[in-house]
Amino acid sequence: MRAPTPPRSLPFALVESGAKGLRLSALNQAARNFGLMRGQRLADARAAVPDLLTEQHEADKDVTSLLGLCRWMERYSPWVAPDGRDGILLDVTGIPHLFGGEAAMQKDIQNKLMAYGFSSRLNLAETIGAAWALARYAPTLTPANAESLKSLPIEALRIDTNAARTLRRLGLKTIGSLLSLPRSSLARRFRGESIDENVLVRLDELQGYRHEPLNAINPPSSFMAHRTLMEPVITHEGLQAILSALTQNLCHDLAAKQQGALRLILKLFRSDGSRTQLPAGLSAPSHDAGHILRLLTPKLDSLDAGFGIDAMTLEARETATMAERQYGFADDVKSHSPQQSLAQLNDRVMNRQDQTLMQLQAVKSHVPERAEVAAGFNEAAQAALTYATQNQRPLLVFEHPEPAAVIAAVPDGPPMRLTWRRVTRRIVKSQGPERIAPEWWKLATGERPRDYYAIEDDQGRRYWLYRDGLYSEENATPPKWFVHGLSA
Amino acid sequence: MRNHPMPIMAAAGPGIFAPGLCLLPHETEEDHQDERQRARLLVARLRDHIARIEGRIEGPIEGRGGKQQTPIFSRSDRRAGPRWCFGLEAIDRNLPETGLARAGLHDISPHKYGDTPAAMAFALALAHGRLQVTGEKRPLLWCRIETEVREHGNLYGHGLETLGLSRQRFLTVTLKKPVSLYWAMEEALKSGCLAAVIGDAAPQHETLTTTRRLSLAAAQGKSAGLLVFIRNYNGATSSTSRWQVATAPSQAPPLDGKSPGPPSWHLILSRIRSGKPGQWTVNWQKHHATHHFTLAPGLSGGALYPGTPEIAGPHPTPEPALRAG
Repeated sequence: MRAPTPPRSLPFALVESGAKGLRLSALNQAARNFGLMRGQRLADARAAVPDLLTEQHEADKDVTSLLGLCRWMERYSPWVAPDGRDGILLDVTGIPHLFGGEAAMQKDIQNKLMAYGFSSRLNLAETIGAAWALARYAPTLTPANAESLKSLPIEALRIDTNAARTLRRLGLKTIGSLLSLPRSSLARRFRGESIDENVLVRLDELQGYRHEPLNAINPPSSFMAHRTLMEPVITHEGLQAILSALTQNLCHDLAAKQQGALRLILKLFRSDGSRTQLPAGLSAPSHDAGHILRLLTPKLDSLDAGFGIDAMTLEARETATMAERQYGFADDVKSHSPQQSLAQLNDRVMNRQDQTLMQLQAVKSHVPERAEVAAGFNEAAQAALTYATQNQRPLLVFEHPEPAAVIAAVPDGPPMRLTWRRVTRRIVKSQGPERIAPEWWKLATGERPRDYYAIEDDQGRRYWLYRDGLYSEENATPPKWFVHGLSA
Repeated sequence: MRNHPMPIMAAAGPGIFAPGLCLLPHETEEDHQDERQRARLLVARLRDHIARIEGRIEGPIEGRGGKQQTPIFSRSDRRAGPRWCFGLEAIDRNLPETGLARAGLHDISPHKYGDTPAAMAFALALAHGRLQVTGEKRPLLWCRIETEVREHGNLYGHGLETLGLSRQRFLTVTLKKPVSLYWAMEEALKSGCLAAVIGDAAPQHETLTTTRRLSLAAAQGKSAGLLVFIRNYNGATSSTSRWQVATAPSQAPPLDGKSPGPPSWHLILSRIRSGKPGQWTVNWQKHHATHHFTLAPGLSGGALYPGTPEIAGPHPTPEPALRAG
């Protein structure tokens, strides 16, 4: 994914084309040491540093890469959101103790990011605004208290450059100086339409007087089991053991709340920072650990573990209430009702072979191919419509009727000789015609009336064929014959 | 356990422990009597043992090392309801005492390419019988293979209803590869939630191992497995019965000489465990409410397999394909 990066010691910059030619959009430390700045024109930068290496900035790739990093961050917190084009927000409420405290967690994130080649700044605060400000304008591990916030520059308020410039012109250079002003005067001066211009709103958000939502990319499910591993695991057996433990935990939680999983996602975090996920669907809610494990385990076979998996999360994305079931005295604890085990069979087939058990459902229509639909086994169970035709129907029906050549004694008489699939058969018995007219109330154009015959050849094999169109029709092409089905 | 000592042990006992003690110089008449008595007892016990294995009489079966063996035909097979058979004396005579194995595997192959729809219908007719077993509430599943669907078409629910099968008790699934099909069939049989599982079988993928797996799964889930072969197949499988189906010209209904009558099939039962092979020409009375088989008149006498005492008329030449089960 990554292109060969130039050595860190050489000045390097990404450029993007703006209104007035190419401008620098990002630079490395070496370039910054030469005094280059973000937003500078490339021509000016080249004049100052003639051997500046440049590359076109691809903003869309930045976005995908940032989203990838967000997904990776889900190992620390389930509530992660991208912020702007270069930031990530994590809600770590109740989490840091799992990683050995706030400081240790920040250190861990920073070290891991550094290992992947990202330079990062991060900080922790009670509000999104404060965390944003501290991460960008204060050194790492600055405590988020009133003093540290007051000393931050005005730009840390997430306001646009115009608003910041106005404030600086007024001599308000830090947040602290802004806080000492009366609210009413600030409100009068900055009544911008957009939030970036409204200093007061940003100030309230920073202090937590105004709530600001955090929209996670993947809102966490209420039922999930997570495990971080000491060492990356690469073997199938190892992964299976962890998956089994996760499934047990998840099913225990589900059962306690009388819920059953309908859709599951197993997220696997690779040690190189990428993430993969294995989805599984269920046709009926279930919290049977054995069944869920049987659905997920085969999927591990085709898994690319990379250099090893070092964290796993099993989430129940969709759940439904499950009635508690009373088992009889004679029943084995594990025994299921036939309907339940049929649903489990369906799940296994669905997750392994990508096919579902189908039930043939009758539809009120005269046209044979429309008289029936194959419905998924669960939908069919709900709408069991019985509608039987009185006429003889074959056992097998072709999806597309196959053209055939037929010789009949009289033009609209029963067939005498049938050539189908390049074999000619002599017809000895026939029943028909059964005329099926097109359904004019459906706006299907070009359909013609059909005459169906059930025929038997001299060897006792049976076919169901029709003549498409009538000889009596005026200005029409002559009727054609089709084999529509086979019968026993 | 004590009441039924293992016959082999009974025979071996004196041989192992006696020699040191029996140091008689010559045999006496009494000894001869004893020997005969023992031999008779041994034969009787062996017969009893075999009968237990075959499930003809009830009782525990002792295997090697004092372990209990399961009978080939599970006892529940005989207890629940009537036997799975055709309701046609001529055929049922050749089936084992317990009827067709309700938790076993059965092969059905068409005689020629064009007989496949007939083989499929026969499989459904057999499965229909399986569904009629009293107390059976489970549905039927047909695992189809994509190439077969293109070749012979989709199963049609209205057609199934004319065959007497309710569409509520019929499920189908179409799979892409034969390997997936065997996997699905095995899972379905093992799950125990289906009365019978029918599958389109491709002979080139059919091995003794796959069919053995299927028959073990069938025994585990107490459901019947039916393999409908795409073409005529004579290789080794671990099925309890093997049928071959060919179409025969049907007899026109009495009032309409020109229209096809009930389907007529020539059936060859070429292998059956604990039964006798045979061949018959039957009519499937699918339009009757009972959906039963009848022997095709005029042909039935001659078409019966030789060896049944009731036969009058010329014996048909046994086909080379026939093998004793």
